[in-house]
Amino acid sequence: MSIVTTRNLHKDYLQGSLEVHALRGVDFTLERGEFAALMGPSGSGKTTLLNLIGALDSPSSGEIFLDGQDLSRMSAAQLSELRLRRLGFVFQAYNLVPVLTAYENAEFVLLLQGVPEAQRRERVMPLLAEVGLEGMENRRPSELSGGQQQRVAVARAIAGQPALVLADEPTANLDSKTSYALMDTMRHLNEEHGVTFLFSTHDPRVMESARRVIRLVDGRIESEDRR
Amino acid sequence: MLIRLALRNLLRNLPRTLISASAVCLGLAILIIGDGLADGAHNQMVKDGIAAQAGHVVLQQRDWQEKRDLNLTIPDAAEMAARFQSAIPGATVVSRIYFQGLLTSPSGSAGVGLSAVEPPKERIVDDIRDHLVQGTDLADAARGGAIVIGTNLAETLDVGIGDKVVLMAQHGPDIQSHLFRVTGIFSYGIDEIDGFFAQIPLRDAQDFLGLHDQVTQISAHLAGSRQLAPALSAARAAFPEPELDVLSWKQAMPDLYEWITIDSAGLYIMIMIMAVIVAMGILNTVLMSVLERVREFGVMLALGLKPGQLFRLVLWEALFLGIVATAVGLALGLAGNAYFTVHGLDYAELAGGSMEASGVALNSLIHSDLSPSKTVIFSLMALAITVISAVYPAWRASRLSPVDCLQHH
Ligand SMILES: Nc1ncnc2c1ncn2[C@@H]1O[C@H](COP(=O)(O)OP(=O)(O)OP(=O)(O)O)[C@@H](O)[C@H]1O
Ligand SMILES: [Mg+2]
Repeated sequence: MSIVTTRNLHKDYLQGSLEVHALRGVDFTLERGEFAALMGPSGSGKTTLLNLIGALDSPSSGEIFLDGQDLSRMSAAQLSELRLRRLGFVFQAYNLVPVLTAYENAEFVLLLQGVPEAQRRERVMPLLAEVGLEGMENRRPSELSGGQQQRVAVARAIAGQPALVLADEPTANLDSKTSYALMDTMRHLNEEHGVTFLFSTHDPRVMESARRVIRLVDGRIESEDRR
Repeated sequence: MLIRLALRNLLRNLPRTLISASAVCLGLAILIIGDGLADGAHNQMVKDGIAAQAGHVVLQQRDWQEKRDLNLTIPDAAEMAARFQSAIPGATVVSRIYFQGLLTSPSGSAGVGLSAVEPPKERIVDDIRDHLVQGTDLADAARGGAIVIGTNLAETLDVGIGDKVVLMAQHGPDIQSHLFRVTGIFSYGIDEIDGFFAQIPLRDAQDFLGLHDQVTQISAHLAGSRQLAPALSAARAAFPEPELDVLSWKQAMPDLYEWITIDSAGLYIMIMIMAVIVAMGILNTVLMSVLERVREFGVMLALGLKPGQLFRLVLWEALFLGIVATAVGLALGLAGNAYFTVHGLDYAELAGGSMEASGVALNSLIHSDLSPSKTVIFSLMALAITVISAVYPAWRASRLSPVDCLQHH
């Protein structure tokens, strides 16, 4: 069963008086358990597409179904609840709340979901260990390297047991070695826990870890590879 | 969770938190100390005014208040005073004649405002003895015909203790005159009082003005202003005669009452201005702290934090800031107030001279008199201002859109 389906998705922005067509008809389906990469040159619409699928923004036209639900029929409050329960997010940088420790950041979504303390600990501690942060639970983000911060963000995204994790250039601010290590971690979580991932990247070697690659050019899907 | 986050956010930019907090804290402390001093000064003026010029409750002939005419006296003064006393048993009841006259010595003359009093009793209510610089008060004077005057008047007339002066005053068609001997000289440090006011025994005044068993005012002096209302109604009940007026000090000294009202209003206007300034400062710093965290708020909103929760987070921050600032401000204010209650504030030294309003001297040493209820109100006000000032920034935070925030760096 598909987790995401988009139909003829368009997104236009106004840049001053100029209309920019960021997406020009994207039809796309993502199945449960996929580990998929969005590739494409700068300005091709990767971030725009991820924001639409992530229920952070609404399309100019077209439809998005997430878990079978039509996003256009949902209120802002319902979309917020949907993000909280069904989606995980990893952003490019500045993902974490600076005043919270690694552990507290990782449990943030669970807190919002209202999961009791004991259960939170039970879920978050092994996850932090799994992403390689054992013993660093009490560090603040400023005491962690960029790669470690992204791992905390990945742990936070997974902790809420979402149907889908969206990651917009999660490795963009990392050196290549750290990037591959992060991708290995994500891939491991995908394989072990069946978490569905959709991430964007510029880096061809990062892309190589994906089992499906979607190429965006000028707001359209140009080609797809599966391997 | 929001509470823990709010507390940590406050600690995160500690200098800014401390600056915001100190604005509220100092504002509150100044308010408490200033109001305590103002009330202290006002209470003291009321006390002095009541002591020398009226009483908490006064009995006068109808119309005397406006006309101040010696023809409008209270007859059967002794019996009236006894009735007044039995109506308000706890009070000190004194009888006086107030009138104007001309005081002459071999080397000059001056207009004077006279208060003819019952010497031993008067000592209980007024404080002239504390201000004597030479001689004695009327109660200690060896014989009748004594007069107590101020230093400026003594200088104008060039007289000292034991010197003779002639008092002339008009009652009816004739001008009466009488010889007095200076028995005491006082100084309040206020020209209007030291150069104009004089005290003589009531009996002498009655004799020489031909006002046998008559006075212009009988006044009751209470232990504190709290008994005013019951005393006033008891006195009103005791004197149903239409030709008699029973007045409270506010009616008997309308100028003083008005002056104090205006002075308090001035203070309240200053308080309002201060409150607005503090509120603007808080609004500004909280808004700044919100705008600095746009990216962070965007992440939290994207993860599923509700706008209402973000609104509450910012308000929690303001509430904690307000609680700490109010507590410290209250402590500082109470400490300052305690100091000025015990040691007093030398107003004369600050303002470069003594002050007077409606013929009542403001003692140069002001002792604070803080009202507990106003202290509570001011503290709650400080807390409320802090939280209310954060409402707009909190609302702005709750209206942020995650996509816009995430593009922010
Ligand atoms: N908020 C916006 N307002 C106006 N134009 C926008 C906005 N966001 C994106 N665009 C435009 O839409 C197009 C697609 O942008 P998008 O950010 O989706 O590209 P991208 O593939 O993520 O690029 P990059 O690799 O640089 O992140 C670009 O031309 C961009 O300028
Ligand atoms: Mg992008």
